[in-house]
Amino acid sequence: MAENTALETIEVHPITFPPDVLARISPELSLQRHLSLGIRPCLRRYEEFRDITIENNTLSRYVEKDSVDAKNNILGSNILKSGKTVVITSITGGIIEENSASIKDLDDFGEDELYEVTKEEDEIANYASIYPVVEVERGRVGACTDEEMTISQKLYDSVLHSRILPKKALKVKAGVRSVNEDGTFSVLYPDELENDALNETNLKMKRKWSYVLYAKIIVLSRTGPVFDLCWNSLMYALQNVKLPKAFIDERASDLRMTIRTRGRSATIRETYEILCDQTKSLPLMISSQNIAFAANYGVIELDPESQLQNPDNAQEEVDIDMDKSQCILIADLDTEAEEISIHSTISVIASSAGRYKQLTLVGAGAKITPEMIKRSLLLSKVRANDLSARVKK
Amino acid sequence: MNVQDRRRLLGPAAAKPMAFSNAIIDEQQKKPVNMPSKDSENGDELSLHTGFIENCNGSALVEARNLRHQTSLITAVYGPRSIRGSFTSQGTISIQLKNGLLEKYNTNELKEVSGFLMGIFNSVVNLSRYPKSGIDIFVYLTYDKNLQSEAPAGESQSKKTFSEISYLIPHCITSITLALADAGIEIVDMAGAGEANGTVVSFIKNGEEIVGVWKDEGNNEDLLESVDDCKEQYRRYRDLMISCLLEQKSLDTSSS
Repeated sequence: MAENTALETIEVHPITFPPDVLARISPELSLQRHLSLGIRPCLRRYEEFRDITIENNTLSRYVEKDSVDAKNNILGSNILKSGKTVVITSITGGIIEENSASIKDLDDFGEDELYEVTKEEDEIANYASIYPVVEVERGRVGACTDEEMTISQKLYDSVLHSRILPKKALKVKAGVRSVNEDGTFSVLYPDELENDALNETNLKMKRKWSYVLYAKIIVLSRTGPVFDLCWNSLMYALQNVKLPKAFIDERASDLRMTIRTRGRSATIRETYEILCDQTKSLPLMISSQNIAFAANYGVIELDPESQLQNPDNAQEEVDIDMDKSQCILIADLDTEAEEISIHSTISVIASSAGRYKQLTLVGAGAKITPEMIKRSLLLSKVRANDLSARVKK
Repeated sequence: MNVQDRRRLLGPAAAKPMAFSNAIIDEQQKKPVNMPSKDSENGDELSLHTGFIENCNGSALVEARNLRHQTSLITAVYGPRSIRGSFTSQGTISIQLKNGLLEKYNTNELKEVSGFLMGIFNSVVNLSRYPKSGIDIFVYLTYDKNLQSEAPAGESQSKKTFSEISYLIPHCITSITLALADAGIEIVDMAGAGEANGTVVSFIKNGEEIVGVWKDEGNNEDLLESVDDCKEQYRRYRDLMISCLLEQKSLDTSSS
């Protein structure tokens, strides 16, 4: 200042911005200012979640009770709206033939490693997962983004390790379609027959099939991290999946033929179409006690320097201890400001009964204390309780 | 399923998509279920919303339902945003049609339609106001159900001589126009269109100017009659669009 006065007096005016401009220029500062008032930029309290609205099964082929939409191949769906973000999940299916080797190469994603890991207790091999494709719409065309790939993989792994989908539930109980004397078709299903003797003779098939489930998850209007929204939407959608009954033709039920190639004879088993029933379906038997819901948290240090002065005691110069920083826990991160300034995150998947399926801690900034982990686990349970109650409505 | 794509989890390659048996649906099930009560063929029930997607400049949701179809479209407009490369005196428009959840239409069909839509909106949007910028429009066909499939087979065969996609085009145009208005992008006039007999005619300026004609195979003889039908529908859609935008505006002003 001394040199300046020698030359010329420069007046320095403090610049003030309206809140919405400041939020664009310096999201961190804007966030800190809000937090010092006890609220967040989205006007929620620290530990307040966004409310969700859901709509189940409105897109699936079984939407109407007495008829099916023949051209629709969606088996279960969910639309989840949380704040401004809309997540649309639809589940479709496929059928894969199981052969003896297939258990090992059925799931090609790291299944070998998985086998190494779980050789002793082969528990996880009894469970299957769903193949999710996540699309976060952001006005670009081309290859999928890192975020989409990461969320898809995380969803796949989490469904598998949450043990929600037992492989048993995906087994196809194939029926046989036979032609009656008058030329009409009729289909016999093993689970519909009461007569055991008939069951034995008619439906002894060597071949086994299982369903494969795919999920397409479209995220519109992304405003913050979306993994937990995708997960919750997937959970709702999985709970209302109906699997169509499948059948094969009678004459193909056990077909083999022997062929000779280069002097050697080999048995070829004909591959044939397995068809799904238009109308009949069974609900997917998921292990409902393992249904869990996701929630995310962030930990941020309150910056004492950017605190707003309380106008009541502004005169008496409250002595804020500049060295002591205070960390707070923020639930359900949303908005750009929170996403870019909060680096320490906790992500929990928990069921309403208090079964914890997943806990991810990322400590990159503010320190995550054991109390915060405890608090977030507790909040997750409450949140899961709330979310699971929505299904029954 | 594309097995080459290793960035997405597409599942085991050996799995086949579910094939449903050819409808052996009982005759009594074919009776129309939950049909709209309107008896006229063009009695569309339309529901319009704008501005519900946060991370784009303008958006619109159009839901339509009549005797034949039930459709829901989401349109998002991104832009005007700067484009890379050399200076252009006019803005450029790109329109992407996306198959949402039901993989009903093939890519070529959708490309053809988006080409047609681009032709319309190149003349509707005041592009000289947006030099060196691009306007990207995405249309998601969230839901599309053909209600007529429940009608007796013989009848629907004769009626479905033209592609079903022509039915969608007027709604695409409605939703893009609304989304452009929501984004505050300058347009010459509210564009709209109507569909009759597989012919789609798009109008501006109270039906005085035609900005696009789409013709599928179908009845070719009474083209002029179709144009009149389309014009009538265009007027209805345009009035609905305007009242929707005015309502939105009054909502915005009352809330702020």
